[in-house]
Amino acid sequence: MKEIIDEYPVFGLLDLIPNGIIVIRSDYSICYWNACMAEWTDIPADEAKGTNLIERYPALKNPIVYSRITQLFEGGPAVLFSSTFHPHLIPCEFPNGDLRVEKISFIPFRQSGRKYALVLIEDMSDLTNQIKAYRTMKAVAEDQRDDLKKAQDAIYLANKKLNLLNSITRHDINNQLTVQIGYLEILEDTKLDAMQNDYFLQVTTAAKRISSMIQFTKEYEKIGVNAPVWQDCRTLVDVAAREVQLGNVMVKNDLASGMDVFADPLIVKVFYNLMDNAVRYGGKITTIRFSVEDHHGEHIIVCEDDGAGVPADEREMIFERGFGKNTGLGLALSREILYITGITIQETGKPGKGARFEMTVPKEGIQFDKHKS
Amino acid sequence: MKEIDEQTIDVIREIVNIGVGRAAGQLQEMTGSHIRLQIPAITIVPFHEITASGNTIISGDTLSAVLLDFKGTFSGISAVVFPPESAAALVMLLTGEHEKSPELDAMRIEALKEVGNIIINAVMGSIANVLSEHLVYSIPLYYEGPIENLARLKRKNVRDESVLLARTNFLVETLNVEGDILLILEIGSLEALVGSIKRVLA
Repeated sequence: MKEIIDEYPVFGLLDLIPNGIIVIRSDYSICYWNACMAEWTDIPADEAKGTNLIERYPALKNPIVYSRITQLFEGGPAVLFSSTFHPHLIPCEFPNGDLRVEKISFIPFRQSGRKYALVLIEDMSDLTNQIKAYRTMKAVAEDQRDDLKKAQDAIYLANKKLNLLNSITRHDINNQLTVQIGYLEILEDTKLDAMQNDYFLQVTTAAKRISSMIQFTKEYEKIGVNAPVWQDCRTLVDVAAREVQLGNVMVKNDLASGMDVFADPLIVKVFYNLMDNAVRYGGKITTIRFSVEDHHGEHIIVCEDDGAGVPADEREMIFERGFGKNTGLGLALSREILYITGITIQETGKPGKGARFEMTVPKEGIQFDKHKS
Repeated sequence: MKEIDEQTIDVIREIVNIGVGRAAGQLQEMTGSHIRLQIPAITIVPFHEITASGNTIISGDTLSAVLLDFKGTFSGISAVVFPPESAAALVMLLTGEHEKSPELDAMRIEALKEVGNIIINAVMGSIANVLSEHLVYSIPLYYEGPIENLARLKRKNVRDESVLLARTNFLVETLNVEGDILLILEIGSLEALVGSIKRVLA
């Protein structure tokens, strides 16, 4: 009887395929060995043909493997050996001696009443290396994520404890301060000589400063507690303006609606603070105006007034903590609130002609008409 | 819909049970864990009902499956179907890997395909052996995705037909891995199958 290979010269085409291909008879003798196999194993086809595949590769004798291969010629379906469980069942080397990682399929077929199996050997080395590298990267990323989560949890807990401690301490100091101020008020009604009066004023000032500092810690505690969010700038100004005692001062809100900034939720207090400062220290001020300017794609939110302005030598000092006479949220805290999302603030007005605060928003921190389709 | 008498169903159940029992033995050997196996449930259903989203035949809308088409005296599909989490858990167990959130990448799919191949071959090998029938098989196919897309894998005339479905649910105890072994027979093959079975039993 003619062999399948002799019967079908088209088998020669399998030499062009870049996978190892072997054809075996039901007695496991090799009747075809393609060019790729010859290259991978250094065994020429003529030498391989006629030899027994199972005898040639002892790993195939492993009972678990062998019992599956025998099913092939008992009417069973194709048998697959994955690269995960059987990477080197039929060892094929790279030129440098490293073994290829293989996936092997045994596919049964019949021809002219005879049983054969086509053995397809696919080189999975590159894919395996890529997947292993990916898995390593993924494991590292997952570990980092877990570490980060642990660190975040620890920071959150520490922050919670610190805030609790601050709150208790602030409460205790305030209690003592109330006692101190009460006695100072009694003392105020007492006749004091000039030197005693001087001391009295200094102690009173110190008490007020302590009170201001305590207020500062209370405000500062809130900064950065809540995650930054997108907020409509025009609405923020409107909301803040309603809280300020403006008197006859007019607020002109020229910010377009639909302009959102990404900022700490306390940004509303920044706008409040700017308006409150303008009214308090602006002198003959009549108008506060909010607008936005586009400087080569960089957006600047401007708050300007027509009041007394800021003396040139105080432009930076006004952002220092403790500057100014008023308690409450100062410009120092305003700067910190804005800086959480990279917004910077500076004073650029002309002394005597009005104050001008410029808040420069990073490109990624501003968006327009998000809700417009 | 074609009626099949209870005796024929019993015979089919018996023959499927032999194959499934052998498959469970292979799975037990692989996992080192006891396999709890249900008695095969035999029903005749329209093919599209098996692959309909939300059907009660295969639980879960997404699945990982290894499928094998066969043709011969009788034709159909043999399949091992896992919920994706079970598939991943099984592969991780067999490869001895420990990963926090395992995913079925190409390597693990190959491994799962081999597991499915072992199970299906045990089923089909047994049936073909017992009945001494020669069947022609496709190369095993891995499928992962929504259940309804499974229908695309079959010829249109089969998608429209009723089929005989033999379903066995298995549970790998202690590992919480479950799955189904399905044997879907084209209804036209039924007489041939029953004939083969009767010949052997006689």
